[in-house]
Amino acid sequence: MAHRALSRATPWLLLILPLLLLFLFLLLPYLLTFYYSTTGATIGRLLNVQQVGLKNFQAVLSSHAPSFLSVVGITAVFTTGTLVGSMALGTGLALALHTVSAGLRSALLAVFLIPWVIAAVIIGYTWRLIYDPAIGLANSALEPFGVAPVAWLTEQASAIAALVIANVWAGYGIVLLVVSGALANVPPNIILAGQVDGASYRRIVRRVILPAIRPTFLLAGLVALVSGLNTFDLIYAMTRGGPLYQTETVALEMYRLTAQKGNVGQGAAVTVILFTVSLALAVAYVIIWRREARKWN
Amino acid sequence: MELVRFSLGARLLRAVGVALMLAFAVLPLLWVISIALRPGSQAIYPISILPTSLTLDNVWGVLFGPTGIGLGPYRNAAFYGLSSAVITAVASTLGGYALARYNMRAGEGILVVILALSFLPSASRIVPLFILFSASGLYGTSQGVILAYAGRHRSASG
Repeated sequence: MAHRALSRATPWLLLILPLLLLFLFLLLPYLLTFYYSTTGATIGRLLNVQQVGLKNFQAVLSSHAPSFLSVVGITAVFTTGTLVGSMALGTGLALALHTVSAGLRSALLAVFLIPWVIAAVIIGYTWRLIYDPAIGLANSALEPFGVAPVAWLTEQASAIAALVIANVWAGYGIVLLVVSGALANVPPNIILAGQVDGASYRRIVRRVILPAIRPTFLLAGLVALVSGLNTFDLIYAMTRGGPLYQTETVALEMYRLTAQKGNVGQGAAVTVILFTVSLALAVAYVIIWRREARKWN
Repeated sequence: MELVRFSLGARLLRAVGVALMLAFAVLPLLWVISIALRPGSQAIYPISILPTSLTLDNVWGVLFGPTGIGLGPYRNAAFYGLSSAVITAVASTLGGYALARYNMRAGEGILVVILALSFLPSASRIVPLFILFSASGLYGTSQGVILAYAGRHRSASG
């Protein structure tokens, strides 16, 4: 009897450590954030805080300089650009590499995945050097064409475009990896069947290959979407949200309010907003993931 | 074996596309390396794309020069990385074994929660962790850094 009880408890004993880490450093911080988002907490005063209801959310939503709407707009442009760019480059590249010999493919994959393994902060400083007005590659490559030096990161439109390009550079690798894996699992028979039927390659891609990798493609898109939404370190390294909040996304506003202004309550309110959006996307992720897993079983 | 036969024009187009992407992938890194390895007198405006001479002075200066950072940061990085990797590996192995070996009723639920939570990327954890660490006195300590990373990376336990 005791033996059976022990063997039933075994998995839970094994799970103590992982669940403890999960609770302390993922769940508890988020619970604290939800609590603090309704308080007037500041960095200097985290205990005995005053309850202020939904005032923080009100203050965040109606803030000026920068207005929350402009922050959301910048986040949307940045995220969409990242999503579209890395999906297009990653998928296009995966399709191109799918058609070359296996040896060449793995050699090229190794090179193309280099950006993916570099830490975001290093990527940020790398691209800052590329866009540097005096010693950047961007300006010195344009110089022979008679283009005067551009201050890429101090003008809103060019700064956001520069951030998107840098983030696409950072993010196309995971799409390439995931889509390449899915392409390898597409049965060659159905592609050959398409050829026998006389379809052009373009048509085979659109009608046979892309439908076959649809679940993986959606997953890659969702990962790119959420990582675009939550990009912090790359933007912080490149522009710090500046000049004058013109490249400030939700993730940066969250940090600025909490750590720089010391307004923990408002920072937590922004975090709750971002968290809710990310969680909705995460639930979609799990649903797709489980549907796909069921298909394979 | 190549699955699909292409015309010469299509092959050329593919080669150009892949070559452009290769340039996009490696040029930024090569630029950083080329700036790092050229003497300071060549790293000013107007800058040439290729340096005329190479030097290790910058690298040496950063590591051991009078205003250099020394090897300390690298030691710290290795310490943080290894410590959180060990904690992650132990926790993930235990958890993964428990979930895979035992047919628990709560097992799938736990797995889904772990997956969903680890899918929330790090930006939305900055503020929560800051609050938690400030309140518990872990702020600014190496234990805090290690635990923050260990909490993040235990997602592979499925």
